[in-house]
Amino acid sequence: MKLILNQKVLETSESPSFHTLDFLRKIGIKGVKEGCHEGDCGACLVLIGELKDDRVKYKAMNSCILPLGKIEGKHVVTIEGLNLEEKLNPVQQALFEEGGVQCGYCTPGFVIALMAYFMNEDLENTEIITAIEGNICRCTGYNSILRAAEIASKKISTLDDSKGRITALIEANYLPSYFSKIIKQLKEIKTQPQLKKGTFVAGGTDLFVNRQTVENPIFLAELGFDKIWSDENHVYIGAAADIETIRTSAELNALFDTAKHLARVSSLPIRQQATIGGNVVNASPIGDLTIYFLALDAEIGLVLGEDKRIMKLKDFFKGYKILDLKDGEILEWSRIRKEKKLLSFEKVAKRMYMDIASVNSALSLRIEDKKIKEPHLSAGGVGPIPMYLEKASQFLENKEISSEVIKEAARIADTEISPIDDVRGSAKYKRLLLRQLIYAHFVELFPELEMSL
Amino acid sequence: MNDLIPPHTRGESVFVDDIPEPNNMLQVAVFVSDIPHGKIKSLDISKAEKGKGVIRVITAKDIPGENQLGRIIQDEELLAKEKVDFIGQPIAVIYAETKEQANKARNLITIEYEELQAIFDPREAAKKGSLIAPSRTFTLGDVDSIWDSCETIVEGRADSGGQEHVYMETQGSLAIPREEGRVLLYSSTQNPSTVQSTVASILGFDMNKIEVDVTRLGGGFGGKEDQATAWAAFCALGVFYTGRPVKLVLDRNEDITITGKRHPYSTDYKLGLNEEGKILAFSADCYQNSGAAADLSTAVLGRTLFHLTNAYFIPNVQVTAYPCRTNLVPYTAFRGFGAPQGMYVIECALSHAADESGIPISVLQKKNLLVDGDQFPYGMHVENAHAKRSFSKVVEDSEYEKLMTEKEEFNAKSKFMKKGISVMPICFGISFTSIFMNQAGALVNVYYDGSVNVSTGSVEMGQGVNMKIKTIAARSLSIDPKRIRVESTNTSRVINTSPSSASSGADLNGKATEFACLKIIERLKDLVREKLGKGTVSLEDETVYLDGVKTELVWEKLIWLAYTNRVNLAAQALYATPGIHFDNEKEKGKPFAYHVFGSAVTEVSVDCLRGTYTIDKVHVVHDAGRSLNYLIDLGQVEGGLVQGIGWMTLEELQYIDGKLISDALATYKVPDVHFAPEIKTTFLEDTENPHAVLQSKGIGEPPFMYGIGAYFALKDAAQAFRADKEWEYIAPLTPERLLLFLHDLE
Repeated sequence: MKLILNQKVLETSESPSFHTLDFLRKIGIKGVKEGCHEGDCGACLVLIGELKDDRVKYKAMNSCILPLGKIEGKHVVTIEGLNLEEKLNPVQQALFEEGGVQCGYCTPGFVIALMAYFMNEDLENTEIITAIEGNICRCTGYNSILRAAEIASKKISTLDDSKGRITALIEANYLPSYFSKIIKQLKEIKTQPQLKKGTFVAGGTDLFVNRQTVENPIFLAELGFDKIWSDENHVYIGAAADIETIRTSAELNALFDTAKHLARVSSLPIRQQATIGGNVVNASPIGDLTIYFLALDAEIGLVLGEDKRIMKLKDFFKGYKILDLKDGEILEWSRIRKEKKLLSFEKVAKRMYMDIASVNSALSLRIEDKKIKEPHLSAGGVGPIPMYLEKASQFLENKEISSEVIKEAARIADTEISPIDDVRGSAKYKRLLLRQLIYAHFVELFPELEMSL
Repeated sequence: MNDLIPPHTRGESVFVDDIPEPNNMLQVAVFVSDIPHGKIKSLDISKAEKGKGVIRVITAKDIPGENQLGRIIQDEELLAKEKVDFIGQPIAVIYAETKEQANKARNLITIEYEELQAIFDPREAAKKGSLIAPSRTFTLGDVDSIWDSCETIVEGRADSGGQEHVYMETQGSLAIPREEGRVLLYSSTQNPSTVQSTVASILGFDMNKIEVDVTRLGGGFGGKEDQATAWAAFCALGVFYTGRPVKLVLDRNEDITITGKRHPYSTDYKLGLNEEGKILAFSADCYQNSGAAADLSTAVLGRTLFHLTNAYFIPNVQVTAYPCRTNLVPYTAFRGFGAPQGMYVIECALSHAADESGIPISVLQKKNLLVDGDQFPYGMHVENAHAKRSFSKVVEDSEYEKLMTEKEEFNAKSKFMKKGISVMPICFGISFTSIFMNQAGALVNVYYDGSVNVSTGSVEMGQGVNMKIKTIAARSLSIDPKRIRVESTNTSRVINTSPSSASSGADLNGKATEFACLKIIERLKDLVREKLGKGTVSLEDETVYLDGVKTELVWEKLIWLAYTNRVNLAAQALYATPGIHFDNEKEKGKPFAYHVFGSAVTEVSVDCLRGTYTIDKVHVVHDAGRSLNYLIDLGQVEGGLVQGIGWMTLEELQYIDGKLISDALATYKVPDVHFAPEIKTTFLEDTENPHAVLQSKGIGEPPFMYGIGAYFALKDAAQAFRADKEWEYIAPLTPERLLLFLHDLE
């Protein structure tokens, strides 16, 4: 397969399942570091550039869980490919001047993360802290890194973006000049057709953790499963749509506060790789997206050759990691009804960001004549599957909201769950936490209730 | 600024795993115990030996020298021979052509155990007499005669958890064969001479056959003080048996599972106050969970005792600490080295006493702060105390009184969101508490073009010691720092090094550098007098002055003149901290060259509906002496603080039957950028320190302990929601513990 690594087109016969980090280090690119090999520290971040709307769009990705097949035909940039000959770029200079570097091991990852931010003028409405939320630094306590990011931001904000940010960065000599030729190279580079038989891979953020791998991967995004679209009644989310795309999608944000709800899912680099399809099919009892869409009473479309079927997402999970999925069948999309509802999403983990929930939960409902209509309550981390809380949902139907009703719903929910003691918390804690999160849903949706709970 | 940083930002700095791999290099997999305690009944490595690509498999019986890692107490086998004492204990080592082959062969090893009863709780260990070493007791005055005269007495229990270092670069080593069986070791260690001597003893060699070279570490925090040795030893054994280069770099999960961490402690305390809140007496029994072998536990235990009274004067003290042997990984050094665990206890006792007496904790703290002349329980008297100054200043700078009023108003109006505030004073003694370790060597070489190389025993691990050494050398030689390069730490250039730890790296090695530079300066001055005539010679800005008059002699000319006149332009020096002593029988002496002081005010918010929290802002007033480098010292304050907050809040070592289940960065959560608070740091002015190089002060560890303030600020907020409930002093205060305090489950 071919790809562009920094300023060179490169051909390799390595397996498409080989981890990009291990590949890069094997060929002597040592600026990319291994910190955890599971997407939890950002020391291995690289920029992945691809053509979008006749522009090259770059995003920072964790190379440790990124199979080579996913970057075929794309531009891979490591710290070596960002370095200027005679000087530091504004990010590097600011990190140096503000004390944003101590041991230096995590530093290339931070530089990549911040450059990804600055290379995308679209990201200007996003807070800069988001750019580095996937990076762990154990030395500095982050204050100096944030100071540096602000200083670099000020410097870069003075550039004239009329010809695009990347051109502006090149002209300011903040990016090496070879970046101007990448668009042409990306258009010319040939990629191989996807395999006919093999293992379907969506984002791969779970499959490729800790050097695990799969044989003969077929990448769903390359098959066009990564779109979000809508018809008259539904919004469809392709199985390979990544979480960041979902989070920022206009279709969903017209209906709900999805951008806010999903901001605490993982970190930006992981959100750009992980997909809804992976989250659902992985059947993790704690998947944030699954819990979110369960509360929207989502349906899923499955395809096996010519055969297609549609089912409720809540009926898809049969037991711990057991799905109603036939051999060879693929999850094609998830869909929700195109209607405005009140929606609350709650997640508590040890850390607010970049962490797996101890318990997560979502609730959607409408209010008609002061009564709750079509309530759907879901919860993760409290049973062997991502749970749709049928009884509690049914109980809420047609009820007027009061603290008694909410407390009773929480009591009923408690009878539906079977949490266990594990690394995410004791069973006792998870029961208490779900109760509190159910209260929190109502406090979020109806703040006037706060005092009565 | 730290001039040595730019290559880091370009990804050009080389760590052990980045060294270009030599041809023919072997990779290593380590086979470890998966039970916490048991006799090895049988061990079969024969299938692994036949594994693809496998060159050699070794077990305890293959060790040519001593099968022993213990530095203070010789109680830790490198490879378990007859018995295993913790999960993760190395038993066999596989050398193969590739890492994958080594890992695959590891799965072919079979082992049978006779399981023995395991102990994980230090109190249970103490009860059963399972101690690493005898307990130690520090005494001042007579507590027993005082309790009766106390107005308030509180008794309770305070527990603090362990902590994984999470240095971003995992442990590792690369061994290169040299002639005559010698071995060159690149090691990610804070302690090159211990790696050298231990590896030598394991191979049955003299130390002079092992050369250890350390360019830099991707973080250490104490985790690579004693526990870097095993990995280097495995590599050296590979060289011994195969004659080929060998590399071992641990995976993150391996590193978390099989390397030591901060010691968990469980302590019973008793504190007595008079009516006004003066502390009259304090006693404590500390049960240190030492793990399965001594490692540095006894030294860590000592520092707990030294710091149990933190920044307070207490006239009557009786504190005892027990190093308890359990079937967990041997716990080891971690920033603060037992002091944080001690300070946490006295703060718990004070917080408890504040709840009991109704006197606000900040009043209790302030009333009892150390002043010059006060005596510590270990006999030393306080000099140059900045406890009161830093406390008052942080209260003033943070507008503490206003914050308190705003907090009360906010909490009165808000049902679920509650704010909390704390003040945390610290006092930390600088010096290794083993007196002999307070020595350091430096070698300064001036080349005849005027450029300078400095080697010392200190290891650069992000703390900026190399920049400080460079600064000290530049000032001592009166030359531009650009002429100076600080070399790797190498046991053939600087010998018998003490580890880079105890916040002493710059103090000791910087002073040795100064001494070595001054030797060269003296020789140069003699030469100038010989050539230009008698008078007072001085050097300023690379220029020689004779009796205050500028001469033609500038640095490069001067050095060339010295070289051609056959003046020795290399100098070696040793610095040994003067005036420190300690009597281990009496537990009295002057173990520290000086103390570091400071105070922090921490502001937090607790979401009492969900049990989650944010650490909003920390104001720090710190005593750095005359700082050698503002930005480096600021970084130590900010980084240490956030690490300390992590220890008190999110970072939780969770075990099931001795097996660590929070064994990955996905489950062991360190602070991320969102969790880190806003930090405002001020350094105290006019705090010149005559006891360290260029009036500076050690800074690596003390700021860690400001993090303890986060715990008490969270407690403050939580109690605003549940004033009715008794607090249990258990750290870390995870969202789980907090929610279970805030709400009762029916």
